[in-house]
Order: sequence, then structure tokens, then C-alpha cells
Amino acid sequence: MAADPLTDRFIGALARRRATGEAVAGADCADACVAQLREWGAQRALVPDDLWLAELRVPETMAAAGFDVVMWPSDRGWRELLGLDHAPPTCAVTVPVRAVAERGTLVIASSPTHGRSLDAVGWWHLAVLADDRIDGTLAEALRATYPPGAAAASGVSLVSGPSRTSDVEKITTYGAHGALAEHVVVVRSSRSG
Amino acid sequence: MTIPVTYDDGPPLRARTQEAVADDQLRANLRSTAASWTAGREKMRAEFGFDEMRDRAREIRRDNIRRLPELLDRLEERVRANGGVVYRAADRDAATRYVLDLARARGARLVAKSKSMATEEIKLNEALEEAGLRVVETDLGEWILQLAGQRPSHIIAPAVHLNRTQVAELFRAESGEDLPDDREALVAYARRRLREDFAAADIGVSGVNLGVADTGTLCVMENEGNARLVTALPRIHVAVMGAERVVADWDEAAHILQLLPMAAIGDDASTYVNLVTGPRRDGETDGPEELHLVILDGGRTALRGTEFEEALHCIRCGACLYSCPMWRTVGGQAYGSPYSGPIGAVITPLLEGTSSPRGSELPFLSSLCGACHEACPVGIPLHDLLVRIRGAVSTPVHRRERRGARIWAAAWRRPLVYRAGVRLTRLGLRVLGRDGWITKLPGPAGRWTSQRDLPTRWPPTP
Repeated sequence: MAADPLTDRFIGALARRRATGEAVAGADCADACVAQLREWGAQRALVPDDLWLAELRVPETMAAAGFDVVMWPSDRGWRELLGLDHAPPTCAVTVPVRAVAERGTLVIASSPTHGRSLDAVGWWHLAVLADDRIDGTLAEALRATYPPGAAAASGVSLVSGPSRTSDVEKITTYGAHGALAEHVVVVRSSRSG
Repeated sequence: MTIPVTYDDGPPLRARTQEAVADDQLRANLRSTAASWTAGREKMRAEFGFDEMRDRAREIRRDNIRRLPELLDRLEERVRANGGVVYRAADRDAATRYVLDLARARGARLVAKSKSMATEEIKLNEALEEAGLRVVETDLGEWILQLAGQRPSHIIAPAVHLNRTQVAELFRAESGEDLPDDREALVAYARRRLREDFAAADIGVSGVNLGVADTGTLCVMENEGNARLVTALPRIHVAVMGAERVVADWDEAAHILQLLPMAAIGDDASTYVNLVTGPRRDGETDGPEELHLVILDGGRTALRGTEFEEALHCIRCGACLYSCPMWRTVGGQAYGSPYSGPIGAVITPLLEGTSSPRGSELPFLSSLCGACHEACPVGIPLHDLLVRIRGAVSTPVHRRERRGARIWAAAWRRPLVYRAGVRLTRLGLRVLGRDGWITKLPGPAGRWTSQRDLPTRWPPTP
């Protein structure tokens, strides 16, 4: 498969943001997700009830591999979703609506099946991104996210790498309040055919 | 430069700065902080075209402020259309009262906050705590300060003056646990501890970096993820925005959202930008049920059309602080204002007036070297503004000094008076001197000789 230049740039930018990424064919996406959960040592996955993810058989494959799959929306309380009270180490899965090649930024929009806090409540953040959603610049991605005349999502998060803080001695420490690590599985579509 | 010391309200500026200068720990922390900022800025110049982006940012902000009333109206209209409530607060008290009344009306007990300079400005925490609410700062640096009972020393890096040993001591006292002096362990403890509060908070309070007028979207930038949880989990989200923080559309927003972290911390993006366009919609299980936007004027719009208008261009990145030799020496707390550094020395008097102690002192806490202007991502001529504000300060000390300067100028314009003055001074020096040197002058001149000796004739006798 020929490489898509935007995808390559995006994955390169992810590395600068201390995140990781890989491009896979649709058929390999679910396995790539499972491999990442294993690498992190997650026991539970918090997964949006998303049609495309289901088509890619992501939740199904994770459950078959022995992970506790919790679908969003979930009736579990915030304490459990936030990982309190000895909840198992959880990876949040997201499906970004756009991404920015220049700076490795994910654009994640809220909906009933995709909470606005989703990626920040888990210990790890695994994003599954269609490669035709990658834009060159932030301005392009935001124009596509907020088309004139259409209703905007109530919550949109621009996420550029794992959560970090430099508040102790100006040295970067990861996993402050959001995800400790971020991995993006880019699913190749017709464009990279 | 003279920093007057005439004030009765708390320790005067001179005492605060002297205390800061004597604190070796603080100075070492400030030095390393400023050095890492400088390195980051060089990287942004070389790799991301910071200087070119700056020109466009300056145009954007100039245009935003020229069109401010129109943009604010549009923002307000769009936020309402999105299901939010908008309150325009004329001053600090009105803003605080609004949040307090809302908290009371909803029976709130716990407020989770993400870092916000506007809420520091209106002293929201104090007001809420006085009313019996528990307020938790969830930004790690702010939480550390809350535990330490201190005020922020930098706009974006509030606890930059404390090191890990000091932080570990605070956390141990808070938790009763035996925590190591290890950064990862300290951050993990804060994460676990603050999640308890995210799960229980009734109200989330955030600031607003930018309001996008076109869509009524509030942008909240951060690196930790706490602002996301503050804006997504509690039932009520209150966003407090300075009235000048509005841009027209997403092209402008995209530019500023990229430039701000470049200027602030030498990074090409902040980890999280939370874009809030109204409360949660039908079927959504997170996001606040109520969104309140408090637009704080507090003296801002009165600056439009004056010689100080450019102060409103500020995007609160903190770059001028790091670049400032004064701030690098004394840190932010010595300023005694939520806004420190060059921008603090400019907007504190502009928003509070020049008659208060800090309003009249701060414009003089600068060597006018202009490094702040060079560092500013929107090109505010901070050193010029400082000079203009100094001209507007009129306390008894300043009036006395100006009178002295006028007499001096008048004398030096007349050769006879000038020569007579020089002779008189020489004579005086010889009378006061011993063995060709003066080691102690009387009165206010004693400050000069407290640091050095003065020869009675030139060249001095060895």
C-alpha cells in the first residue's frame, strides 16, 4: 500500500507530541487496538457506541481478547469511570472527527455516544482515526468541524498528546489528570489505496 | 529609578522585593525557569516561524479590540442560542456576586476550579469560601499553592517558585501519607486525590482563553486535563472571561490557539484545548446541564480609544514575565497583584487606578529595557505603556519627586545658578568628608551612601 503523505506527517507529529501512531488497513484495526491495550497493560476499555468502530469489529475483538469492554454511554458512576474505588486500569477509546497533520492534534467531538470527557477519564487514550479525516493545518480542521450554518457539537476537544504538567520544577511529567499515554491507529481508506 | 515606600497597606513593594531577592531558593527556581523559556522560544523561532505568526496575531488582536462591542454582542447572542446563560459583569464585585448567588440558588457545596486569572482578579475563591463553599483548585500548580496558602507567581506556571521537596512536604501534610520526593509519585497522588473532587463537585469554574464570536464557543486551553474534567463533569459550568478575550471566527482562533502555547512555554501546541459550545444536549451523559458565561469588564472597555488600548491585546501567555529582568529577579509574588511582570505592571494600574498602593508602585518596577515588547506574541509596546502610566501616577511621593526634578531642571538651565550650586556642593562635600571620603550622608541621601562611599574631590585620594 502506498503511503499517504498527510498520514506520514501526522504520525511524525504525534511522535513530537510524545504520542505514538501507526497506519493499518481496516481489516487489521481491531487487532492493532488489542495489541496496544496489551502493551499498556489495560484491563478495561471504555468504548464509544460508534457504528464505524463496530464495523471495524473493535469492541467485539477486545471483548474476545478478554478485556472488560464498557460502552459509552455507560450507567456506571463517575467514581468508577474516573478509576476510583479500585476500578481496573482503563483505556479510553475515541473516534476523532478530524486530525491535524502539522501538529499531531486530534479533534474529538461530543455526541450522545461519545462523551466530551471520554479520553480524559481513562489511564490511556487509544484513538481510531480514518485517514481521510486528516487535515494539513488546525485552521482547516476547525473549518471542517464548525461548518457555517450547521449546528456545532456541544463539546469539542483538541488533543495533542498525553496529559502533562510542568508544575513541579518545570520538568514535564505525564498523566497529570488525563491520559498517561496516547496511541493513534490510523485506518487507511481509499485515498491511500 | 525610585520605588516609593510610603504605603501602609501590607509590606511595601520595596520590602517585598528585598525579601524576594534574599531568597536564594526562589532565585534559583526563577533562573532555571527563565532559562528553559528562553530555549523554548529559540526553538519556536527556528522551527515554527514564531516571528511571522506574531505579525498576523498583532493584526488580529488590534482588529478584535477595535470591533469589541460588536464581537461581544455576537458572542453573547450565540452563547444564548446554544443554550448558555450570559452575564455581563461591570466590575469585580458584580462578577463575584453573580457566581455566589448562583451557587447559593443551586445549593452547591463543592466547586472545582481550573486555572483562571480572571477569577483571581475577582477574588472568587475567597468569596465562595466565605460563603461556606469548599473550593478546590485542580490545576496542579494552583492546588500546590492552595495547600501552601500562597498566591500564584506566574500567569501560566503558578507554583514555579517551589521545588519538589517543598511540594512533597505540602502533600504529606495534606494526605498524612508518606509520599516520596519523586515527581511522578507526587503527580500521581494529586491525580488520585483530585479525582475525588471531580466526581463530587457541583460547580466547575473555568476561565476562558478565547471566545469565538461566530459560533459562541469558549476555548479553554490547558495541558493537564483538569479543565476538561471541570468543564465536563459538574452539573454547572461557570466560565469567567475577561471582556477583551474575544475573536471573530475560527481562522483567528486557530492562529491564536497555536501561537499562545508557543509564546507561553515554547511548545507548538497545548495538550488540550476544550471548545465549549453550550451545555450538554439531549442524550448526552456528560457536559454541564447549565452553562454560565460571566463576561468581566472591570475597567477593560474604558481603555478602548485611549493611549492604553493596546493593553487589551494581551492574550495572557506570560512570555513578558519570563523575559523581564525584574520578574526574573523577584518573581511574581512580590508584585502583590494577580497579574505580575510587565503586563501586570501595566494592567494592574489600568484596571484598578493609580491611586492604590500597588497601582502606583507597579509601573515603576521595570527598567524599561523593552525585552517584554520583544517577547510579546502580539507585540504590545509594554515599555511605552509603562512610561505613559508612570506619567499618570500622582501620589504625594511622586508629586514631591516631580517638584524636585522641576527645580533641578530650572537650576541647570541657568548657568549662574548651576555654577553656584556646584561650588556649594563641593564645599558641602568637604565639610562633611573625612580624609577625602564621605561614608554617611544625612537624610534621604543616606540611601546612596549605605551602598558606597563618595569621594569629596576628583580624582579621589587613594
